[in-house]
Amino acid sequence: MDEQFEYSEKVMEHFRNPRNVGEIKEADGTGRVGNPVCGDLMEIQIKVEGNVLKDVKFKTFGCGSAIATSSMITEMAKGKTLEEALKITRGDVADELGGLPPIKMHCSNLAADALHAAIQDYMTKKEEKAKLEAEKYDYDVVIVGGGPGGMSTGILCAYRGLKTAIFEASSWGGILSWLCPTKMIENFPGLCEKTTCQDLIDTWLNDAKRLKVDLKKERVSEITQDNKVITEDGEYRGRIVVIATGTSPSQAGVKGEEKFSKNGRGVYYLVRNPEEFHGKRVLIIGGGNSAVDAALSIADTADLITIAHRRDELSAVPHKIEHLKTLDKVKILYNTELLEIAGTEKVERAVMRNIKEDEQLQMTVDAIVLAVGLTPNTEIFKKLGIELTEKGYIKTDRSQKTSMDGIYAIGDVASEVQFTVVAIAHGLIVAHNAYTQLRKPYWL
Amino acid sequence: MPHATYLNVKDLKAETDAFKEEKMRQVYMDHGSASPVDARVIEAMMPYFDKEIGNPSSLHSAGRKARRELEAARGHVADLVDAPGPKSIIFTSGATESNNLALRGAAMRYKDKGNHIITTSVEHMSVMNPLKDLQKSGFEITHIPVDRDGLVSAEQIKNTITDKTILISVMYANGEVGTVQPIKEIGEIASDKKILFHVDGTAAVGKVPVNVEDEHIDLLSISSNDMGGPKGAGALYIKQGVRIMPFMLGGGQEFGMRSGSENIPFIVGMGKAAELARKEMVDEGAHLIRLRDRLIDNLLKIEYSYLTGHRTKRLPNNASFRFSFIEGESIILQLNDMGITASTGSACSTKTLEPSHVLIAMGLRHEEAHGSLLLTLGKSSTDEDVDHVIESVPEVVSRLRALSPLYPKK
Repeated sequence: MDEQFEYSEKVMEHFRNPRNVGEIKEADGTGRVGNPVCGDLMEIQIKVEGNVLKDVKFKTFGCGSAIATSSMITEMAKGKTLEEALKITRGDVADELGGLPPIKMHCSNLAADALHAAIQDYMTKKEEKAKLEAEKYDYDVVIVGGGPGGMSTGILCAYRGLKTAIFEASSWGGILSWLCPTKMIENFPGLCEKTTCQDLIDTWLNDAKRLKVDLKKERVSEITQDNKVITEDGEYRGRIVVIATGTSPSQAGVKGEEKFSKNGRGVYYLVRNPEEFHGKRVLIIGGGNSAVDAALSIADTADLITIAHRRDELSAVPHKIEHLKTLDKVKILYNTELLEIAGTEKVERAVMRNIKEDEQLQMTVDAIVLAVGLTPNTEIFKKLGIELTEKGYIKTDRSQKTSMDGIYAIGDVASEVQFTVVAIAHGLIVAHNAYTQLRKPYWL
Repeated sequence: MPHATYLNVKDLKAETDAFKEEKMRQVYMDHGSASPVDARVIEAMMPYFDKEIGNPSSLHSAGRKARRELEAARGHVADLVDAPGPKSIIFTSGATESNNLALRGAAMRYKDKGNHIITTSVEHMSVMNPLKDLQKSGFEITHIPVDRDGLVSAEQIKNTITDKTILISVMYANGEVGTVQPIKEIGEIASDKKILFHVDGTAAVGKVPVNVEDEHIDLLSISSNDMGGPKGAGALYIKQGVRIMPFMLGGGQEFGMRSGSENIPFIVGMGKAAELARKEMVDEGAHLIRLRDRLIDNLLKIEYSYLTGHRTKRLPNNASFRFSFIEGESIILQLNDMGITASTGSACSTKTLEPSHVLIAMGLRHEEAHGSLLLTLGKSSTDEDVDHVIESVPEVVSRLRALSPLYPKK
């Protein structure tokens, strides 16, 4: 043999001690290439994690250089990203082996081809799998609840290219839409005193539509363990389900409450339309922001406003209390709890008790606003068996994951810290996690 | 006080390698490619390099001495193939030249009689290529196929003969698979039809008895090295009365068939080798057959292993195999690491990247031809050599099969 036919030491070393021989169980990709001229056959299998070749194994039928190049390319490719591995050429392999006899160059070409074929196979399979997965599910992300948290999650998921739907039974914007649509948004750095709640909601709706979020006006009645969201109109499967059902005003749980809370009989939970209270004697139960807000919002319309609070101090923000105290028609009853709402057709009388004195009080009223707090809306998850906190909120970890696989919870239903910006932040965290979980990008 | 020192692999590498080298038995089983020159042959040759330097064409005593040695060598070669007289032997530079001279010489000489030449599909390149060249000059070549054992059918040759057929060329035995052809049968047919019969005797002469008269051979190519003589020498037997056209023209040496001053030391060597072969062929043949059959019987115990070539119509020194799912060059390189020198017909071992045409002609698929292993014994081969091969080949085969994607999983 002349020099042209001799193998380098490195080639012989790999031939004698081939690395990474064998097969990978449940390989992510297999590349099998043959050379019709000399009859060599190489099979390379890869295991991919993230975007990195975690393992590469080969089997080769062929000459010394066919075996050496196979062995070498497995070493070269291991630990590389798919993009890097695809760039390995026949020349690179030969160089790494200290050169190959010119006539043998076809063999190293084969090793690179086999690796590239394995990566191609992996990518094809991944696409097919993703397609199958996508067919199984109606959406990447299904969000239950169209409040600030739900809408933000939807917008941010769609922004990341995830197929997203939001289900809302009543009005878009949630609490902002029914509690205070015309008021300036509070506690929202940068927007305070500039934007009304409704303006903010409209901006979200525009964003959601622009990003092709499916906005569904359907009431969700149940969420199942296999990520099915059931509404009156149908069933939808999301690879990820996000609970953003928010809160509802709490019930006071007193006698007469149920009787008068329907059909405008005088029991309210919040003030939607101040005109309804025109010329009325109104009793507001509660001492927090919603109670004070309710009082302030009807200050111009109501005849007389009485606030009854269990404690001897209001818990609303200071500037609201200051404002309240300037109003002549407002009276405050401390240490007082509501016992009963009485009347025949409509509310006529409130029965109360001074806790400190243990004295019963009676008061003639035309309307009662029960601003006694907010209760998380967890009713529809009873069957699902999702884990709740002691106070009845949905329990989540720091990435907003619930106890159920693939189900996240955000905003007021999952947090005692109830601010619009917090719900939005939760949405951002979920969108990020959903994207990472579903798309598995190499950089995350 | 003794002082302990840590040793690592590097410290012991040289020692380990030396130990390996020392322990490794060197086994040469590639006699078909090149054979050692017999010590007695070398001894016979030596004086003719510096002491006995006469040219046989010279009239002085040195010249006459050279002439005598030349004719003695001719006699030995003639005797080896039972040629009727030494004058039917001419010396050449080797079997390749002998084949070229026989084929071209005969074709050109008898081209007026016809242009059809019959040969087989398993001939050596030094037959195939001159015939291919003749084809360009208007000759028609018919390649007779062989069966799975590499045997050509005399009957088929007979049926292929036309009134244009001037030459039949069939090798005595195939060096790659060892199959010995029915030369006498073909010779009789050629003789009946009065067609020249050339036999490439390279792998056979000196290994098996060849009788040119009995086997009706008109032209016989003979190799020196294949029978223990030096490389660079060969001979062509030309039956008396057969005329062929020389192509090496000059001083008219070798009865005008091959000009050029005779290569006396090598011719003497070839003569000596022929003399020894004639005496020792039978005993040596028995020895080789015993070793060959040990190789065959033992290596065929490997699963998916097959003998190539005919089991009995076979050269005494040839044990050739194929192993499924693995490739020959890899086998050769691994065996080389175990001290064994062998050969393969795999494409990967050739400059053309074509698998052996012999194996393909025998009906093997490409991937089957790839896994071929050729072991050719020589007179120096021993039972210990065979033991080492019998131990090493199964190891190499299973090691390579572990790498092969074709090997069926159990």
